[in-house]
Formats: sequence, structure tokens, C-alpha cells
Amino acid sequence: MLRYTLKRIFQAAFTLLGITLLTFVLLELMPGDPVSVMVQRQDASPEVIESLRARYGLNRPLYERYISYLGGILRGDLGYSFYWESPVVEVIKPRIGPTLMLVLSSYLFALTVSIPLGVLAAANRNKLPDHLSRLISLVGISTPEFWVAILLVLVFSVQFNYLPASSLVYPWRSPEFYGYQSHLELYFQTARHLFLPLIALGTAQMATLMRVERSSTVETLQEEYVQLARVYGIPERRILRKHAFRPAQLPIITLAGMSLSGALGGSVVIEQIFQINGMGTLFLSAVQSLDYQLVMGITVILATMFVVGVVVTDLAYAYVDPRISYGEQS
Amino acid sequence: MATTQNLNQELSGDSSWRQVVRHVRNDTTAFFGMIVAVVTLSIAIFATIDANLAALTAGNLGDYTLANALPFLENPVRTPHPTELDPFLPPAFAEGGTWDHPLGTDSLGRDYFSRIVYGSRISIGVGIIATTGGMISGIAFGAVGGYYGGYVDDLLMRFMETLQSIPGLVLIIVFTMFVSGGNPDIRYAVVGMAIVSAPTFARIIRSRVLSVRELDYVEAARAAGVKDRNIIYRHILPNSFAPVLVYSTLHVSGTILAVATLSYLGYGAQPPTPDWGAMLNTAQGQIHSHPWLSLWPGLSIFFTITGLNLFGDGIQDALNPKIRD
Amino acid sequence: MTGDTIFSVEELATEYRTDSGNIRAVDNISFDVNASEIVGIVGESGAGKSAVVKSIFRSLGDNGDIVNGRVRFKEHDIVDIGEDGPNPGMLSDRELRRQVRGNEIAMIMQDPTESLNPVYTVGSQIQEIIQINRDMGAHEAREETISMLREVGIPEPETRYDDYPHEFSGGMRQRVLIAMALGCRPDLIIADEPTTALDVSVEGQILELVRGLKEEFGTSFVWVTHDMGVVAEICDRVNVMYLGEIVEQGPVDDIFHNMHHPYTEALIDSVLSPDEKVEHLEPIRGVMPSPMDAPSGCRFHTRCPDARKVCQRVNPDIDATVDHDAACLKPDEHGYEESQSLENAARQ
Repeated sequence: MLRYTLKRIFQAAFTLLGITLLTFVLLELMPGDPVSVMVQRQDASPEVIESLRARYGLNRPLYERYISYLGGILRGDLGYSFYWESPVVEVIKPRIGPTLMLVLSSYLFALTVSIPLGVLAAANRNKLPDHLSRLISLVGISTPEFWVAILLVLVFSVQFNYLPASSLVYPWRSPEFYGYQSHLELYFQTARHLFLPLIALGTAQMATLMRVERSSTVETLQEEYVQLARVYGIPERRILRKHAFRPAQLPIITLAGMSLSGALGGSVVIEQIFQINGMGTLFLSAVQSLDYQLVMGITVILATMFVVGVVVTDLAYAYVDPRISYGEQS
Repeated sequence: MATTQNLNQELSGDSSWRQVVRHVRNDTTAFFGMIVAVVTLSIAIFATIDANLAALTAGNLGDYTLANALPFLENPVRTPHPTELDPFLPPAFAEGGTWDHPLGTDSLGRDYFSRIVYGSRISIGVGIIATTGGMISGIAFGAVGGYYGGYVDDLLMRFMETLQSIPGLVLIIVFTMFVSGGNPDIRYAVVGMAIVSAPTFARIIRSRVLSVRELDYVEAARAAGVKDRNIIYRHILPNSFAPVLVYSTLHVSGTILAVATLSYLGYGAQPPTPDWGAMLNTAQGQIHSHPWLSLWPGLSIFFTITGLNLFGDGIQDALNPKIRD
Repeated sequence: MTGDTIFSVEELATEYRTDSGNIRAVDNISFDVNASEIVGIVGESGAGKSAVVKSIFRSLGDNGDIVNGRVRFKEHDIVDIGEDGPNPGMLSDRELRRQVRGNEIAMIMQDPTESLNPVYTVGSQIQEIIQINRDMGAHEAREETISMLREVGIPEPETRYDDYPHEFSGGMRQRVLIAMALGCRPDLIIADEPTTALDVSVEGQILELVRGLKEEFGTSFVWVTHDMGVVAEICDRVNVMYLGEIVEQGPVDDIFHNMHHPYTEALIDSVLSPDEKVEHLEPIRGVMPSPMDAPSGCRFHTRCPDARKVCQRVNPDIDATVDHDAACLKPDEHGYEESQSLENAARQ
């Protein structure tokens, strides 16, 4: 298990390296150079520009620049945002929390709903629970996230005025910050504000996961070892809960990792609709203002999140499937 | 296990295609999906060839009713004259509407129905073009990498992996930003979408190529001195195609969804070209006063994607007996 | 049932429903098993052997139905279906599960890799089954599991208990499955081609193990295989199946020395024996037809070297001949002698 962990981390490092390379290449291709972009809005004398150039090493050969770029990243330097007039890292930092909160909670929602429903559907194939779940997952997959969001806002905020339609409350702040009386109220409001965005983002994931859960469970129920368990008199309930459940989760684990990509992309839209101050809205505004460094910095962060997520799910997979962690012996 | 499907297969010795056809015929939802897909495709094609429609939706105001949009009437585009600017309500449901504009008009008085119809052209067109582009480039990468192996394969796969690590939407927007310098257009979205689609196709082809590569008749061909290129074209690719086709049907619907989201954010087709996602964005602002405007584009997206998904599901089910009964 | 018989199948018929109609996979077969006896069911792929096994356990799946017959194990009516459907004496699903499955009849399947759950340890899987079927506590069942593992020849069973299925070789896995079956102390074990997927040398070991276990525990086996060699090695009696029917049945010695049915003869001929010098291998001509296109009359007539015209018309019943039963017209039935030969004999 340890060996496998190290192997995966090593592979992930390579992918991250590739990402930095891609980012670097793109930044090189952009019109103008960082310094001219940086000083765009201020008057600067040629000497200052030249010294800045030297400082940022813009007159050095390509591979050297890449090395220093890489070094910068490892030291936590992702460049400089001309729009915000501060280092990229500083701009991004406060935005990470909201995005993580949104993405992780939508994941939780998707998993907790899809797994039981999927198993239920598989156990009652072609009966009502199955048809219902297939309907739900079809609708979930076929509806754009932003439309779900719009509809949710329409129903819950406009019509019923029950749930807020914008921004989030952050549980790591103090209650006084928002004017709440207690931590309890703080958490309650957090949930309340998070509710609609979470569902909007999580619906598509939930739908996909539910389908895969169903088909994986159906397939597992047809495996020889399940049939053998039945032949040996194990009650169906126990088979569902114990024999078929765990092997069936394996594809889900992998899928959960892969769909993180979609979730991160979706959070861009959802944040925009709900006016959440996360990385998504930052990204969109950065693109609007052609703040190349900031855009690429966000891209690197998002890609890193994804890679980390995949590694985590791979490790979880290996933990569940002894064939991976214990290796083959014969 | 002697499932019905397996028995059917064995008994009739059907090829995969026949299985698919038969399954889709029998399975109501898959059939429905296919109908929807065909209908949408026809509408899109119709929208493309109907020049009047094109001209009229391009933003010309005026005496523009549905009748004028029909392709076979001799109706040159008229010069606009002032019309009501307010959105109507669709006649079937509400007062104030007319059959001239079955779905009402938008904020600029343009016939909404034609805009919706014309929007299908963008959605379906982009879906198909982007998927095809992704398929071709993905196949190229995957086949080359899978066949040659070694560090060529490694390099290509690392590159694909890197592309896949960036969320698709983000990648496309970044791509658009770099290439267009701040002027997004549907063309960039298409190319970006193709780029994002390529890695999965590459992976599918690559694994097929890896398994086919070791087969005896390929060895024989190589021993006989057949050029690598020809081997790939004639022996390897035809055998690897089936899973690619299955995946591409599913992928088209995913592409349409992604494009809708992109254009909602403003990175798709630019006004005045009608595009469902963009229309939704505009309609959202007027959701209190004129909720109808949001309904039609949303429903169109929903139905198109649902139909394609059902159809794609049907195909998948037909080829994978274990999930069926 | 006669005195010694613990298991009997009478006139069992099973059908599968397909889009092209119903297939009769098992067509009115009858056989029985006595205590401490290994009875074989032998035939090519598609003969219906698996269908028989599934029917015995009532695990046919959604598209298969037992349309007729009785399957009795001791005093339990596992299957009792007549013209009007199931008879009242037949066990309900629940009764079947609790009373018979596992603790009375156990099963070993063909593919040991697929028969074990890959995410749980081998020991825990066996233990669970023992616990449920023999009503033991966890600790006791664990002891029993280890003892069973030792019994089937797995070294260091206490350590191996915590290993996962993929850490065993094919032959070892099959032993594990045998241990699982034995752990329930059943009186009957149904083995569905358990050695087909194994190397010949490993197969030999397993067969020897089974013989020993039969002696020691007095368990009976129904052994399904396509290999006459295996039948010769361990079976006491055998049933030869072709296209859903039993065409010959009786004690193994009798059949091998005195085979009546041409199919049996062909099966035996197709097995290599180290004793004889073999000039050429005699494969059985043709392939078994699909059950949808069962030949008229005697089902084997299309491939039978001794077929005559009358064989196309008449499907012989399984009859008692001198020492055992065979379903063939050859001992001059229905005018076999006068009938014209169909010249199916293998041509060189």
C-alpha cells in the first residue's frame, strides 16, 4: 500500500509538472510581456522597465525562464496580477475557501443521495424505485447546471422567498462579523446560504453517480460469487448490504475522482449565478480583463486541486480493492 | 449465464449493428430518444438551408412573422419598420399573443420561435463538429501512441493527461482568451471543445489499438513488410471503431450541454446570432417580467440533450447485455 | 426413492424464454444419487448440464422456468411441478434457503476466480457461510474454517485465513471452494465443472482430494463435466447427456466396458489414454445443434455413425438394457435392423 501510494504521488507530480509547462508555454505566447502589462497603467521610464525586465529575468533563455518559473511556483509565487495590483497568490487566497466549500459540499450531497438510490434501484430492477431513479438521473444529466440554478432561484427565492439567492456565509468567520448571536446561528446560516448553490452544482454529479451505482450494483449482483452466496443460503438483504455492496463501489470511486473536473468547471458558472466570491468568479473577471497571469495562476490551482483529488480517490480505491494494494501473487 | 440477450445473440448470430437496431426498436425510451435526435437534427438542417430564416434572425426587425420565414416563399427580407418592442406571450396560453409569433418575441421584437429554431443549428452543429474534431484528433494521437508505444506513447499520454487535468470549461475559456484576445466567438468555442474532447477518444482508441496490435494477423502483416501506416489504417482502425462510435453519440449530448454553458457565460455564439445558452442569459434578467423567455431555450436544451442521452443509452444497452435484463 | 437414495430427479424439464421462442434446455431427465456416491453428468457444452444444476438449486434467473418434474433431497421437495404448476409440497423460497441451501446441499462452481469475492478475505467468506448454515458462533466458525482449510490441503491455514482470493493460485482457490462446501457438512455437493479451468496436474490433485473426502466424510457428489477421463477417475455412476436428454446412464464400470449409445462411445474415444497407442484422435463429427433446431427423432442421429433412417423418426426412450439404461434404437427396436443406413460414418 505504501509503495502504491508513493507511486501515485510520483505520477501526480509528473502531471503537475506538465501543467506548469503548459501554463508557462501559454504565458510565453501571450501578447506583450509581463512587464509591459504590469506597467501598462503607470508611466514608467525606460530604465525602470529595463530593470524590471532584468529582475524578472525576461532577457534570459527559455529553459532558464521555465526553471525560474517553476521555482517560483514551488515557492508560492504565481505571478503578478496587474488588475488587482498584487501577487496572484494573494488575490486567490481568500477565494479558495468559498470554492472548496461549494465543491466539497456538493460532492457530499451527490454521494449521499446517489449511492442509496442507486442501490435501491438495482435491487428493485424494473420496478417503481428503479424507474423513478432512472427518471431522476436522466433529468439530472440532461439539464444544464445553470438552468437548474435559475429554476431553483425562481422557485425558492423569488416565489417562496425562503432561501437566499446570493453569496455565502463563511463558518470560519466569527458570528459577530455577520451580526449573528451565536456560532450555532452562524452554522445554520452557512447551510442556508449554501443550500441552493450546492444542489445546483451537485445535481448533475448526483445523476451520473446514481446511474453508475445502479449499473455497477446490477453487474455485481450477477457475479458468480454473489450467486454462490445465494446458493449457500445467504439472505438477499445481507447479500445486498455486504457481498455486493463493496465490490460495486469501485467504479464509483474512480468516477468520483474524474468528475471533480466537471465539478470545478461547474463551480465557475454556479458562483457566477449566485454571486459567490470564489475562484470561479475571479476567473471570469480575470479573463474579462485579460489578466493573463492571474488567469493562469487560477488554472494551475484548479488543475492541482483536480490532480490531488484524483490521487486521493485512487488511494481510496486501492484501499478498498485488495488486489491493487496487495499486488498479484500466484 | 443464459440471459435472454445472450441466447438471442447466439441464436441469431447478429452483428453488433443489428443488435443495436433491434434493441432500439424494442425499447421505448431509446426509440423516443432516437426520434427526438432525428427531429432536432432535421430542424437544425432545415434551419441551415432556410436562407430567409437566417436573414431574419440575424437581427432584422420588422414585419417579420413566421410565415415570412418559410423557405419556399418568395420573401426577400424587408426593411424593418417599427414594431412593438415588448415581448408577447405565446398565443396558445396567453392574451396578447398572435400566431404570427407562436412563441412570442424577444426584447427587440424578434420572433422567438425562429430564434429557437435557428439556435438549434448552433447547438447541434457545434456538437457534431466539435465531437468529430475531437474524435479525429483523438484517434490520431491514440492510434499513434498505442501502436508505436515507447516514449512516443508516453509523451502523448502525458500530454493528454495534462490537458485533462484542467477542467474543460476553464480550458476552453482560457484557450479563447489567448486566441481571441478578448473577443470570444463560437469558432473558438468549437475548437476549444474539440481539444477538450480529444483525450478521451485518444484513450479509447489507444486501448483498442494496444489489444489489436498483438493479434496474429497484424504480426503477419508486419512480417510481410506492410508499412506501419497501412497497418494502422487497414487492420487496426476498423477494429477499434465500435467503442468510439458508441462514445461519440454520448459525447455529442455532453458537448451541446457544455456549449450551452459556454454561451451562457458569453463565450459561445455572439449576438445577434441566436444561441440557446446566450438567450437564457438575456432572459434571466427579465425573469420577473417575462418568464416565458427563459422557458423556451431551457426546454430546447433539455429536450435535445435528453433525447440524445436516451438514444445513446439505448445504443450502450444494446451492446452491453449485462446491464439489461 | 429406494433405501439408499438421498437425492432424486424425476422427469425434470426446464425451458428458457427467448425472443425466438422457448428453448427446452432440459427435457424430461431422471437420475438419482445414493449416499456416499459420486454421480457424474457428462456431455459437451450446450448439452444442458448447467441448466440441470441451476434447476436443482432453483437459481435459473428471470428467463428460465422449470416446467415439469420433481427434485427431491431426502424428505424435502425442492422442485415439485406438474401440469398445473407447483404442487403444494414444494419448498418455498425461504424454506429452500434456510433448510436446504448450504447446510444440506452445497455447490462448487467452475471458475474459482469468479466464485470468490475479491474484496474480502478467504477465511471470512468461509466463516460466514459456516456460521449461517451451521448456526455457530463466530469463534467456533473460525476454528472450523481453519480446520477445513487444513483438510483440503492448504498449508498454514491460520495465516492463509487472512489472505485475499487473488493471493491464491487457481488450484488453491478451488480447494478453498471445496473447503467452503465441506464446511457446511452437506450430504450432497453439486460440482459444476470444477476442474475444467485447471491444469491437468492440478486437476489430478483435486480429484484425489475429493475421493479422499468422500471416503472420510461420506459426502455424495453430483459431478458435472465434459471429460470422460474425469468420469472414469472418480465417478461411481454416470449420466450421459446430449441436447437436454440423458442418453445413457449406469455404473461407470458397466458403461466403459459395455457402452450402448454411440454418443457415449464417441465421448470415450475422444479421451486420450496413456495405456493405448493412439493412431489418430477420433473427434466427434459435427457440432451439437442448437436446442432451437433439435433434430427430429433421435437427437443424435445427425452425428451418429450408426444412424439409420428410422432414427430420424423415432426418439428412443431410455430403456433398461441388460446392465444399464441407454436411449438408442440399436438393439433392434422399431425395426432398426431393416432400416436403411444414413451413412453418417466418418469418412477418411
